[in-house]
Amino acid sequence: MNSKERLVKAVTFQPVDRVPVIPIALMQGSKLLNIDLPSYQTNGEYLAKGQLTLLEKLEHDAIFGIPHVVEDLVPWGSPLTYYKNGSPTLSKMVIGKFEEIVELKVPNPTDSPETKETLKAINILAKQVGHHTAVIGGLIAPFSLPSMLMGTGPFMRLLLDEDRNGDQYLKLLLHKCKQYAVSWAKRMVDAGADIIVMADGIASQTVISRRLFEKHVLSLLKETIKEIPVPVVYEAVGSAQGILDLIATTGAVTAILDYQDDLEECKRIANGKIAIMGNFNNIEMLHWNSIKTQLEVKKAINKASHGYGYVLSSQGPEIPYNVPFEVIETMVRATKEFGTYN
Amino acid sequence: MLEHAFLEKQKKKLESQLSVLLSQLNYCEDIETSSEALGDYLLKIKKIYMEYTGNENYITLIAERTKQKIDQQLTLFLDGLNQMIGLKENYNMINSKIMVLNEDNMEVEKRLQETFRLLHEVSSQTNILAINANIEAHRLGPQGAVFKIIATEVGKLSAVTSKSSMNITDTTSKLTIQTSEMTQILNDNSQTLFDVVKELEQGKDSFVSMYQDSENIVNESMVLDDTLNRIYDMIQKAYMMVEYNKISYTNVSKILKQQVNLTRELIQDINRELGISNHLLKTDTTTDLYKDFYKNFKEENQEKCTMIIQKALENGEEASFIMTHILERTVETIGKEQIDRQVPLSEIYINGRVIEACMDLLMPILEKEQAKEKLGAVIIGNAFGDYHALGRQIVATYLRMAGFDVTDLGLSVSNEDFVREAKEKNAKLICVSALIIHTAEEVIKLRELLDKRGLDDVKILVGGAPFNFEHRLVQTVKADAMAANGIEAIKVAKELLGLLNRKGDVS
Repeated sequence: MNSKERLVKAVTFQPVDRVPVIPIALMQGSKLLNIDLPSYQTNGEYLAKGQLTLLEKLEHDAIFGIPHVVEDLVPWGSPLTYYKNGSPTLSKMVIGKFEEIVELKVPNPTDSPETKETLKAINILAKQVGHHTAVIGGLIAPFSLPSMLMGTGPFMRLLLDEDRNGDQYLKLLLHKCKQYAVSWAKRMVDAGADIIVMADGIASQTVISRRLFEKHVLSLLKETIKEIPVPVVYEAVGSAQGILDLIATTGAVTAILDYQDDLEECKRIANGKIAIMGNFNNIEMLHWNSIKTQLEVKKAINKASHGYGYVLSSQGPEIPYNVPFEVIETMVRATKEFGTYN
Repeated sequence: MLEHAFLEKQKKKLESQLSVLLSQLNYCEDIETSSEALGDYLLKIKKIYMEYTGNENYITLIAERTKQKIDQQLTLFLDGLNQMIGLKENYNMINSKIMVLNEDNMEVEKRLQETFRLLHEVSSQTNILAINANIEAHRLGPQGAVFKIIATEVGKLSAVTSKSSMNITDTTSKLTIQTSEMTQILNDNSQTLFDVVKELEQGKDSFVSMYQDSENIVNESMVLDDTLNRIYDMIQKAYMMVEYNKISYTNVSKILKQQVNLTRELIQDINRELGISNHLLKTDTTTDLYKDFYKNFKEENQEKCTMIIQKALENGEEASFIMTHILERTVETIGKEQIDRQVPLSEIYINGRVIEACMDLLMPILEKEQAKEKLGAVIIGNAFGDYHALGRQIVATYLRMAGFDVTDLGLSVSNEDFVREAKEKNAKLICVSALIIHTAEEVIKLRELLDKRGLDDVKILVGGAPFNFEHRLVQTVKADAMAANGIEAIKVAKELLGLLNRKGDVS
């Protein structure tokens, strides 16, 4: 059974030899290749080479073709500021006033050097290892994109005011973001992505209530996922436990959980409906060692592996740059050792 | 007329006192409710302790069982090892006996060969003798017939002797070869046995060390057991204390109610003196002010909340009273309610907006009257490289409400700017908000810069997702404390600045 088969079967609750393991290691390739992070994150060939080197070393179950998801904002006109030890940040807000939403043009997702390089990376990975290992693409979900276009505070104001007083700009903005997300997903799929991870930090329970999720996010998600031609992994980038039953109805095949979510309880909610993935505390991982990692792997497997439908991983959005490589290695090795079903 | 004015003045004072008394009563109710919740938490902890320690898989029991199993296995192992060593010694003895046997065997074979050679010669001589006897018997003719029979039998005997001696020689040679092969096998087995015993002797050390480790685990788990016991004991005491506190607060409520009634009577007496009948006490309307405000605050109804404050001001309620007894108290109660559940950012955001709108009504009056308590200057901003404003803005609002003089430096603030502003405003607290890990790490440099500029008395309070995920990060970045939300930020800021222990304030 190769990694791709293992992953597909596991997330569809079919028997597999062991729990699949996917460390969300987007930046670690730069260390392995000894290339500074900004250069690594902006070069498709480096990204692919980094992921292939990781795969060679770890033999885990899927690889990522994206450097981060913030790049989604570049085609909208927000350049990035890069750092030597972490993900880039946005340099400016695209929407200054709500009125600008009306005239806001949905850009071509490939209209930036960053996104072009991502497609290149996905393409190289798909050609080289796509026949046995799933290549994952990723993007910002339509509900979360506005907060990055205008800032979380203004988006909150828009959301809550229009939630109370009736729609004026919100639906239009979310529709534009949905168009963009679908179009970007399709380009990644065309380049060879087998799976799309949809990061939706603003829709998580950490940010909005279940009522707001049901009213403003659920149908938007269903419509978006329906238009993406490959399986979608939904990443709440925050607590998902209280809305997991709703996420299970969106068409997503897997939900990435937050460290605060109770893995056992989430398994109970999701069992047979949607696979779950996670949920190591990625900031705590900075202080882990091999033994601690092994214990955490065992704990997670004990809680969630029964009946398949579980992928061992960290919480979103990614494993920090300074997490010791030994921790990531142990995460994979221990899953292979203790995550068997026989 | 003079008396009338005096009574009016006294009445106003009494009404204010009544408002404060009613607010105190409400506070007592709040404390009773939260004491109830605290008692429930303690009971839950006790239950968890009981279930955990009473479980078959309780760590001390598992540790002891494991140690006993290892102990048994170690005993078996040592017995086995001793038997193997005995076997090895037996093998040594067998080996030396076989060596002797081999030597004897070779000597026997050598002698046998000699004997066989002689037998062979005897047999040849006998054969020749039989042939010659046969010839002589033939010459003798009929007289030699008997002699001939004897000579023929002697010849046959010689042939049998020769054949038998050859057979014996072959058998002896085979025996020697087999003995030698057997010796070789025995030697090989002996070597294997030696190797096994050597490995087992080496393994004995790690087995013994494993046993010692298991003993250490038992000892440590017994320490844990004792620690849990002590914690349980303290929980018991805390639970008792909470129960007593509940009684005390109920009594305080009773006393306050008496005082309320007494004050009401006094006001009514004054009203009678003033010739006012059926007067609706101001406090009758303000009694429900808090409850009304709190209800609308919970419903996130900003318009209603500001309307209540506006109306209260118009009715002559003092701004400082509203700020302390309505606004701050609502925030405290909400904070307590939020402890036990996931509070979405959207809710925190709305709460912040309502508070801000209410403060817009109260602050100008308070500033004019200089009635607001000044808790000192605080600088707030996002860490360098961080562009996530919302959390910072909410915390700034809460700190302002509490009475801090807040300077918000906005997004991505350089450490130089933080330090300069702190110096300029004589602020003893800098609050840094960060949503991503590498911007959170900027705080280390801020601490270094503060120390370098001689501002080591300036404290750093941090907040944001990475700190919520991993509390140890606060120490890693050399901050003094963290706060998960605006309400907590007020409490922690006061703690850091030593404002919670000002006993002189009681008067």
